[in-house]
Amino acid sequence: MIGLGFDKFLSRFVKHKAAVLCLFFVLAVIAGGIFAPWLAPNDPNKIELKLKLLGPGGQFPLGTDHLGRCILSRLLYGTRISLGSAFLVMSFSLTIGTAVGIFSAYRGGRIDNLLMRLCDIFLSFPSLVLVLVIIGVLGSGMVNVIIGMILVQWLWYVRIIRSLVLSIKERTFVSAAKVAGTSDMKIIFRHILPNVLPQLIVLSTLDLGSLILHFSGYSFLGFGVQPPTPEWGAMIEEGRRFIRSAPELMFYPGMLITLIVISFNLIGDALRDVLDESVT
Amino acid sequence: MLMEVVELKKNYLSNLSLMRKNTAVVKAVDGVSFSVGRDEVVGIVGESGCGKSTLARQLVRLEVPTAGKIYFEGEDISLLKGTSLKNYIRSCQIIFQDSLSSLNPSLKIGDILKEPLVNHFKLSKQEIHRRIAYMLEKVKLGAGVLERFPQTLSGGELQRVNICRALLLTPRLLICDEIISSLDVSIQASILNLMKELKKEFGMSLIFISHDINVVRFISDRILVMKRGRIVEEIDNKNREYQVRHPYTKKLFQSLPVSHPDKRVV
Ligand SMILES: Nc1ncnc2c1ncn2[C@@H]1O[C@H](COP(=O)(O)OP(=O)(O)O)[C@@H](O)[C@H]1O
Ligand SMILES: [Mg+2]
Repeated sequence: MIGLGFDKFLSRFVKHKAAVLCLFFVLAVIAGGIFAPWLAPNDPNKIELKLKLLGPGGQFPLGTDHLGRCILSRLLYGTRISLGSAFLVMSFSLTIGTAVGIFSAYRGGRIDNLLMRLCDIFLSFPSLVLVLVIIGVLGSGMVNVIIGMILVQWLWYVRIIRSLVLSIKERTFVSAAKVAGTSDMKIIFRHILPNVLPQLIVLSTLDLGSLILHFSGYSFLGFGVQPPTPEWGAMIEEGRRFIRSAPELMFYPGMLITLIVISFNLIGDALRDVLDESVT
Repeated sequence: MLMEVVELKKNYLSNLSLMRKNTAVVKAVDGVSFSVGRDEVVGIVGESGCGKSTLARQLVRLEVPTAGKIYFEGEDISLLKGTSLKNYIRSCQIIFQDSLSSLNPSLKIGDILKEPLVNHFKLSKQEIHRRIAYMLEKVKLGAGVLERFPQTLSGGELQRVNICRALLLTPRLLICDEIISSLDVSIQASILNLMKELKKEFGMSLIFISHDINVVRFISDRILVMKRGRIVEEIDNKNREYQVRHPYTKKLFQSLPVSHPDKRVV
């Protein structure tokens, strides 16, 4: 963080009680996904029609779905795909976006202009439409949805990172570093990147929620994860047909998505507050 | 002669609208010529916005001149590239007005001060520490600052750090662009005196830029008066007998509190 020791950062962050709670929730969900093979009471894909639509209790803590599969186990395994894909999309698009954004801002001139016009064109479409076009070309499936989301998402980061870098580039310490004989590469990695990093962390935290929501959305629409693979959006879609008889089939994954999205937003907001405080 | 500047110009295009036709040209520096001798202190005075910083930034290649030449020890610096350009800038350092934003907020002072040495020389760790310690003492800072982040220091301390960073490269010419203007009045004098001492000790030339005629008069051998991108008058400050002709300069001098009635401007 900008001249803010980690302990100081932590002591300011814990003042945001809701965000701390959310952080624990998110960490618990992530742990649930990682340790799913040990935590899940049942095989998430084992179909047992005799046991369909059971209420909670006994062998099935959250009951079973319309095919007699353990809901809790499916949620736990679903975490791996829902959160994992969001992290994947985030890390790839952020890395590409950061590299291109820094290059564009630092170089300036015609290449910069061209890149920005390209971004303008693509970003004038809603990302849903763009991803659907890409899926239309590549075909549906989890990997293609992830690729499509990365291809759209990095454009946003190019724009944001470019403007962050431009504002830092104008700061006097960059001029001072140049006069001190620092190379362009070193200026980027030592002087510019560390100073945009806090904003990037806030940004990516806030965006993770919406990426999870989007990814689940594509699965819900039937483009992403295909049954029987457990995934939150796909689970909602499967439960949709039983909304009257067994609303919990939609409720559990829907609630999980909602809570995760809210959590990432609250954590992101708290991070921003902490970093804003440190600037002033 | 250490540096000679000939008819230097810098135009900025200010895009008023997307239409090409409406671009206005700002002549920030509009044909400036002067020279700096060895061991000489040249003061540049002029109101805010007259082009002092643009001029200074061109001298260290932070801006590329629109026209004109800069000669350093007889060499045309526009022809320098790569290592020779780097070496030129090593011997021609600059310190800026804003002492805080001149320092990267995410680095400790110690790391900031190492940077110029690492960039230019192959030195052992001990030698780097030795040189930094030596120079810190020269700018009258304690070694305690090395472990601190810039935003925890006072304005005066910060500017001493900036001076230290520039001096670590042992420049032949040091450009000071309004280096005391954002400091508390109580600290201004101490930094000004420090610069005078350091100049004597290291035997370098100074270009001292300020909007304040008092400051420039205190430290300079020769004063250049700048107005709207041009030098309108050059004054010898050594014997403090002023023969100013330009009306703008007269106005500048008349605003001075008169401490020596006999030296009053006619
Ligand atoms: N990067 C720039 N783009 C456009 N105009 C500039 C730029 N830098 C400076 N100027 C203009 O050039 C003039 C001189 O500025 P400057 O050199 O900063 O003056 P001073 O340092 O004497 O206050 C001002 O009118 C300023 O608006
Ligand atoms: Mg200025």
